[in-house]
Amino acid sequence: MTGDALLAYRRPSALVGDRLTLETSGGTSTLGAQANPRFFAGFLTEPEQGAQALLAVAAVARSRYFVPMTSQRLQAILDPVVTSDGERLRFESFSGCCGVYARYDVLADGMDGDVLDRGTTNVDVNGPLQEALTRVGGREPLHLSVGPDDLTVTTLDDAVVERRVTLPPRWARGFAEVPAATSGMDLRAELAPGEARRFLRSLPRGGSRGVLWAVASGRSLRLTTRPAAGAVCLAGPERLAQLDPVLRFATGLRVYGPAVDGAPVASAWEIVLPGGRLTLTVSPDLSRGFSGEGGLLLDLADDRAADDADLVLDALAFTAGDDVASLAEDTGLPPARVRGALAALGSSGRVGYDVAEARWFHRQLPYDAAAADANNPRLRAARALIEENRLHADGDLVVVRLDDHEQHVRRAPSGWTCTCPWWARYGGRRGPCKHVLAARIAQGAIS
Amino acid sequence: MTLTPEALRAAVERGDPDRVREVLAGADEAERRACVPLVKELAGRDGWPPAQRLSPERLTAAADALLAARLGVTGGAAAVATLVRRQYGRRVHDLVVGVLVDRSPPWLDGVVARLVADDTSELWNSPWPVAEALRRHLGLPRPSTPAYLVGVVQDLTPPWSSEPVRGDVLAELRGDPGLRDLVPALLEVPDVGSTLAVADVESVQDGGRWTTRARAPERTWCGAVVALTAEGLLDRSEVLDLCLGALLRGGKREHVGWFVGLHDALAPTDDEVAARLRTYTGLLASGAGPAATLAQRFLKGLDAAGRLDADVVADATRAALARREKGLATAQLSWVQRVARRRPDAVGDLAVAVADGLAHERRDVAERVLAVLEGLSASGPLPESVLDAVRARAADLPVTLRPRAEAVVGPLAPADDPAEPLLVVPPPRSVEPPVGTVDDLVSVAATYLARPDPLIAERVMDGVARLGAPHREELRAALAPLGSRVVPDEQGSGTAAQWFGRAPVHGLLHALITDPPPAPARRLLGFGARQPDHRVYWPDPAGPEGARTARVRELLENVRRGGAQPLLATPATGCGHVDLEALVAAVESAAAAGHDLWQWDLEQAWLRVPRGEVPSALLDRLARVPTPAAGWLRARLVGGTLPDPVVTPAAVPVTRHRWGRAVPTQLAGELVVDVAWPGLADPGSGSLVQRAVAVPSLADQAAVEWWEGPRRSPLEVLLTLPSHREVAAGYVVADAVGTEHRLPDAAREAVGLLPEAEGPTGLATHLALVYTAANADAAARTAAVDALEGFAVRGGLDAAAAGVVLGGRLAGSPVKPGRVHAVLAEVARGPVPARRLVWELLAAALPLALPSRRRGLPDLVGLAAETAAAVGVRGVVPGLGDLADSTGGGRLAVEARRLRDVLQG
Repeated sequence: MTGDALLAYRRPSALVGDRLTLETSGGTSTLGAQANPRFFAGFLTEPEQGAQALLAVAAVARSRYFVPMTSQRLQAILDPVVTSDGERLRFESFSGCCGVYARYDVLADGMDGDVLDRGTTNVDVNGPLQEALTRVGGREPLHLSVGPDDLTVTTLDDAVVERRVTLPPRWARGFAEVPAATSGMDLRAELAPGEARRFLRSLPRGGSRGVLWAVASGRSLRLTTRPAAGAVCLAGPERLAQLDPVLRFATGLRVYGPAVDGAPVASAWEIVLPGGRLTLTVSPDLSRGFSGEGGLLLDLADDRAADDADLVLDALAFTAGDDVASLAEDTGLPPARVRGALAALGSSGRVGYDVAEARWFHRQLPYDAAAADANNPRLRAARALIEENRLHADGDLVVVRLDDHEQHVRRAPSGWTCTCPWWARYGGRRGPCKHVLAARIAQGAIS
Repeated sequence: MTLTPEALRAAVERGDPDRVREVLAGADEAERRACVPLVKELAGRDGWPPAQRLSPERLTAAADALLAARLGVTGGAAAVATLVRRQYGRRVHDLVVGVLVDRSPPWLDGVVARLVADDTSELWNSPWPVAEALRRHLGLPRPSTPAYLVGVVQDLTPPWSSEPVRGDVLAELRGDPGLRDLVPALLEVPDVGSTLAVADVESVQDGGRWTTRARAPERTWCGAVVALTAEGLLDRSEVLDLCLGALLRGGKREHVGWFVGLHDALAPTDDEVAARLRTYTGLLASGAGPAATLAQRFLKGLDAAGRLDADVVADATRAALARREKGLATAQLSWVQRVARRRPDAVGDLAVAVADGLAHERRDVAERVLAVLEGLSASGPLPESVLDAVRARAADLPVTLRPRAEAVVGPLAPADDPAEPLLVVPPPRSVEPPVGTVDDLVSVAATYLARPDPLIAERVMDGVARLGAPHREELRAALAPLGSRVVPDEQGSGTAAQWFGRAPVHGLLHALITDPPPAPARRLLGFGARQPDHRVYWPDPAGPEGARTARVRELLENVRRGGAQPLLATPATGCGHVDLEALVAAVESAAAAGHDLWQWDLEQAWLRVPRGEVPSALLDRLARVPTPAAGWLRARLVGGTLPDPVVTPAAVPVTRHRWGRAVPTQLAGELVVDVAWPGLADPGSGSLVQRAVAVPSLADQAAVEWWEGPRRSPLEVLLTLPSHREVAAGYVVADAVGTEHRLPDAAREAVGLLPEAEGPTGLATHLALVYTAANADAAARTAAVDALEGFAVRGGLDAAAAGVVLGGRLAGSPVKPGRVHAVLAEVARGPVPARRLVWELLAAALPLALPSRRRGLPDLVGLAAETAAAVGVRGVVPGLGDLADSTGGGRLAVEARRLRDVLQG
């Protein structure tokens, strides 16, 4: 199933002289829905670095690091998403294979100008602009406008550039899954610029296979085939190649990952820049997109968090973001309910997670991520199993009768299990399989 | 003539496409719509005519007739475009165009748009010819989609040598009225250079071999664009900008290469380069390698003409030294030296820019940077501000380069005192606890089916041994959902599972689900494997990789007799060893309970006993157990472990037999090993030990080509004989000898486990490490790093002997020094034991490898110097002196001199 997104810009983004104007399409700001919101006008303090980082984000958006045999055609190119929170600009993109999430944060000391509004929308990063960005040098100032400049607003009423892009639901689902994956990560390693460059450039550039692990070794990192304590999973190291153009500006590399138990997990790689940071979050395997991780499936199936979500969203409200404890204090909700609310908001693309600051932030994806997630194939299949009355409970055993075979779902003290191949392969680490999901819904373990 | 379904049916069933066109001609859309049900019926489910017993020619004609009918009546541009996309070949395309032109529906332009709407053109079955014919028929303007534009190229210069080039590209383009739109649009297509690069060469046969050569310039796209630019038919400035734009956007190597060629052919003047200065500096900073080289070349040209400011040179220097390419960096440094001689006033700025290169990841580049800084400071003292900047960048220099840097800029701040680098050895492979319930067993069995790891297989077997008999029916019901995954079908295609070594457990599970075991399960377990209708590759329970099959058969027979006890041989460590004390306790418990121990299980347990002296207390305990099994085990433990195998060098055979014919092998003559236990091995024996040590010819196994399917698993072998790692290493060698092929996962895991395993190491282990370190796959090389660091910590590797093997392979085999260097350099980043291991390896390898003077050797010599300095060795490397004394200035000689200096203190 696919959907279309219409990106309507007043004019193409362009770099004319030293003025870079990133045109916006329909989005959300503090004033509500806007056709072409304006977020920022001012100077980038590190113009060459900013141009290269923007190019890296755009490059991820048009990349596919894994092409399944059944889908050889190129995906439509999707423009990056920009969020202004009043203190920084966040440019986000997602690879066509849904396995790499890129974000460039321009921090307060990376920009010098006026924040005009807070909110989220798409920005146009077209081919000629990309060419122009590669020409940006470090000696001249660069004026940046996010959103149409004043002249455009007053003289142009109608959108003149429209781009209809096919938006695969898995793309939007993946975007929504990333916060769930990153919110469990901790800082695992911090490298000086020289070591960062040496390590990242020593990574294999060709197609790799299998999962490797990066572990701290002296002042640097090295790869191993088996994880040690504190290791960071790195599958498909060639996916970090987009960090290379900004390495010459780097003041360090920070690596984030969750605690590991031997199973592949996602990891985040942050290039620390003067006045900014560029982060690539890579999925647990080259062939695994974030869209299939299923980390939000139980939250999607549970609508009890919806009310709490509104409270939490009010507290965030396109601000610089907060951690769970602060949000609990602001909303008066217990931390557990705040976490549930954040998961629910993440599932609809309404919050992101900044792993560098361990903060949740409000952003309103300009796509209907909620609809995409509601149509999650696993959730849909689980509901179909219930509707077709294929579940037969016998104590802690639920037999799921399918056309020519059956699967057994068990509720054990250690958790749920299933006999299906998905469960055998991932053991619940990619969310529940459709059988477990159906059993949990049917038994009221979730509403 | 009025179109009726009956007339159309008759024409289609005659199998005559021309007749179908006649019937369709002149029909209006309403008449056509009335025939849609008929065509759907004729097309059936798969779009072909109903079953007909026709000759291939008649069948083709019948298919064409049906296609003509479908195109003639199907409604809507989308449906027709979909139908057209499914058709192959120009013959069918002519028919398609004919039918659609006859029909000329109002939405025909929509068909054209849909046929060329994709981002990329389809090489194998492009609908472009149909779209173009219809476009011309309708008089439509040329579409500007990538698919259409690439189609234009492929039409004029077909990518297949079997299709003739239509003509002179230059003449065709010159005569094209849309030239000024076509070429600029074409040059903007993403990655179009890849298509144009293919179009600009032709395939020729040279001495029986096909090679490619460039076409005459006027028959190439590059030549034509340059000529048309010269003639003024194309705007030179626009073409140059488009060319640079394509290089800035980047793409595949062929794409970049074609545009670099176009740029060179256009030969931009200094004025043109000067007008695009930012573009060229941008290309140098972030373009693909060839594009950056081009930019550097033209910027240097502009500088030579005296038209480049020194600050631009400084920016270009920073950009070039931030890249990974050594060539760009060294060329930039040479350029800087020339500029500095010409512009003494700019030396300070240039020195600061050059100092960025001190942090380059390549040591030889950093060394060259130092040399340039020495030169810059020789002409006069550098300002203190410049020296400060250089000092700041010199902080990360390798220790051996710091004295040179201090000679230029004065004392450097003391280097950080990094903690002794941690030696990162992967933790031992973990072993999960035994399964305790039927539910656990089902879960573990399902996991095995998804991830056939030999350790999981052992857990399944142990679970079945304990729970199979007492919970037979419960287990049968619980395992039932796995049934369809255990044996694919009744035709014995379970043999695919055998290739992966899964057969025993698949057979075991199948037999538990269906009792008596069905034929596929019996075959998977090797029962009756000698029946004449069996295929040759069914498992023979001999050899270390066959031990599991034999044990599963024993297990199944005992479970069916009601036996229930834990297996003795279940590994307690990740590489297969058992816990000896637990083994003795199990023997005691079995005796106390009156259980007979299973002989093959007991023998496997003995094979998994760790080396070392057996505590007398354990022997005493066994002596008190009055069972034959206890006596058997005690006798073996008293007698020591199995003798070590004889490992002999072998060569991959020149030919091997496949399907009864001798076929050549790709790796003929490459060094591998064979492993044997003379006098002990007996594949037909009733003893598991004698069967397990009957190792088949590993040289023959190495001859099986990598693409013919998975080999026997070295990991399985290691788990069978964990105290004789040379055997598993021999299997790894058979897999790894083809260093350009990706190492199978099981071999990669086995390499990483070799330090944890036991037994002497020798030629097999040395070769396994060398071949794995030289493998094309980064994951395999990482396993080699793990193994070498593991040996550095645990010991057990004769580094000098391994170095001799390495040197021999570097000198006389395809093993690439660069890959080996990357592995050893990573190991050498560890603490002293790891660096010493690397030094010992290289000290033994270099005397053999140096005479070959292979590319990549200088890096290994440089690494030897670094590690020798780090561990403080003194001495002589045979052959090094002559090389160091040679008058050549090559890098090998330079590194040799450095190593000699280190060794001489």
